[in-house]
Amino acid sequence: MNARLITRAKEWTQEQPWELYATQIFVLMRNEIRRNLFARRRLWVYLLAAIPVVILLVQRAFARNTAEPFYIESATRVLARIVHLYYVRLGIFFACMGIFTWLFRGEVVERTLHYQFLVPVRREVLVIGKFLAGTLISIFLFESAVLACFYLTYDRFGAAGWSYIFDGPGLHQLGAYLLVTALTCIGYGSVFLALSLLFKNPIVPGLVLMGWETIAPILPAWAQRLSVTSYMRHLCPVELPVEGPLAIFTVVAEPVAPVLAILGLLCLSVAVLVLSCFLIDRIEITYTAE
Amino acid sequence: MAVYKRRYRPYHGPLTPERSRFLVLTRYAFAGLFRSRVFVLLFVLALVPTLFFAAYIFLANNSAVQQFLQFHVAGGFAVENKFFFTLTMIQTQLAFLLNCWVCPTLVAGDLVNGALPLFLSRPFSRPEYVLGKCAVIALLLSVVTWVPGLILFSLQAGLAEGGWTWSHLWMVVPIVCCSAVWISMLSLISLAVSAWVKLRIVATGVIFCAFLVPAGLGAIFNTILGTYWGSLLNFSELFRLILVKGFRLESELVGRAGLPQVPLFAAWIMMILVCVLSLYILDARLQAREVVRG
Repeated sequence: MNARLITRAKEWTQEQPWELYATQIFVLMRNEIRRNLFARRRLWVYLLAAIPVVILLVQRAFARNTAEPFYIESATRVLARIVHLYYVRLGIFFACMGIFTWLFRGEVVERTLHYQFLVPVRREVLVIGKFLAGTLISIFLFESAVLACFYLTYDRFGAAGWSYIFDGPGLHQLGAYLLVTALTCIGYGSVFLALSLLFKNPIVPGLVLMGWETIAPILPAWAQRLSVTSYMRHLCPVELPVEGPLAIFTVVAEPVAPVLAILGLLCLSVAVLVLSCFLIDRIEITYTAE
Repeated sequence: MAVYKRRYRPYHGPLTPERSRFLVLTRYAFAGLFRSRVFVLLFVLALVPTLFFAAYIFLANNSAVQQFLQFHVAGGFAVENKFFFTLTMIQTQLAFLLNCWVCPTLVAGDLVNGALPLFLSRPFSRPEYVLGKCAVIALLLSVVTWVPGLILFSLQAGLAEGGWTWSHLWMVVPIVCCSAVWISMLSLISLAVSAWVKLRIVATGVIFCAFLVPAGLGAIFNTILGTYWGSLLNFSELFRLILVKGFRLESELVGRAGLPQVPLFAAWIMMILVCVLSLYILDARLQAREVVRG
């Protein structure tokens, strides 16, 4: 039975025109990036990514007395808060909500989805192409912002700052922040793509997701595995104390190895993406209902 | 076939009084809203916490039930200003969620479908249009915020002994007035956002962003620059400050983490500024004409 299944799977794999799919995905990505990255309506996403950089620039300009090497420790904690509390919980969340829900919902609102469905491209390929385009856009924007924040945080300390980066734990922290940013974009992106295919107005379920992410620390360990931020917590190089009213209810989950956290989030994203591929087959275009 | 001469005949029936004309919009909007099952569900869910608070009041005033259920709370069950402060805080946050669902449906549809010129070509002014739409939100959010507050106050007044009503009557003012401040701000910001972005999905998202993202940015601003002025971007925090003052809880709640807070006057100024900005946007966007570019 198993041998037959394996043989059929092999045959199916060999029958698929993978090169054609790859070309179609590439063309879709190129078109989406051209339409979404350099558009005026995406200005708010740039702002969302750039505002912490602007605040750090203000600090650099006006708070020169905090540029002593003594402050490197506190600057590291501030950077961790920027990445974990602002980018992961708010900035990337809302940017992904805007970018990924617009990939299909935007086409429905602008009444152009039927053009995409009429071209000889499998709907699953359409989902993957659009998802990859959205992921590239969000990763590019937020990785640049995190990189700028990192540079502005340590550059003002001069030689001590550069020494912290290259001789101390700075470079490892930068790598971890970039990894966290990319994985968060992938995680939220896949979820919002699925929500946009499942609901007519995906914003409200998106906010339910935000509530879920907020209360995730007080949930049992198995439930925490269904939240993006819980995976990210294990990857953050600087541990932040839990604050606020939820602090007393927080369930401290067992520390997870970074490799497992990365694989866990990627598996979650792939599962949600597969669900999206099933959902796209059900879609019927009814522009009048919008 | 005979063709009869047809001439314009003006309407001679009874006219809606000028003062209450804006309520026509409100009436139709309510009819549309209650057709949505999701809205009805949200509306009912927003009232659920009130039931728990009512149960608490009942428990607090019934020693027999306390003994039967063997509840022992340090300091006893107190229904004081902190109780009504918590109630108002929770209900106003639920009102925010309800508002995010309702508001984009009110204005965005009229603007997208070009219905505004049709409204304004009748004896109906732009302030009346805004008033009609605001009345929908105000009535709806009142039912979720200060009306349950007053009902629970009356319940406690009826169950409590020994002049509780007269010694706590001042709390009626913050229950009503603070809720009114929050409702006004919510409705103006949400209408302005809906009028600006026009699309319903986008408007819902932007309303959420308008409250949550500035709050996060404010917190980051405070963390980086070591100040507290970033809290001016957190509208919920500004409202909490006003509520704390209204319920005379300054000693208990302000600066709870030992950190300084923005002064109350700054909170008021910020809220007024936001309302004025929203009015300006509404004035600019709600025109009986539309410029189509391209």
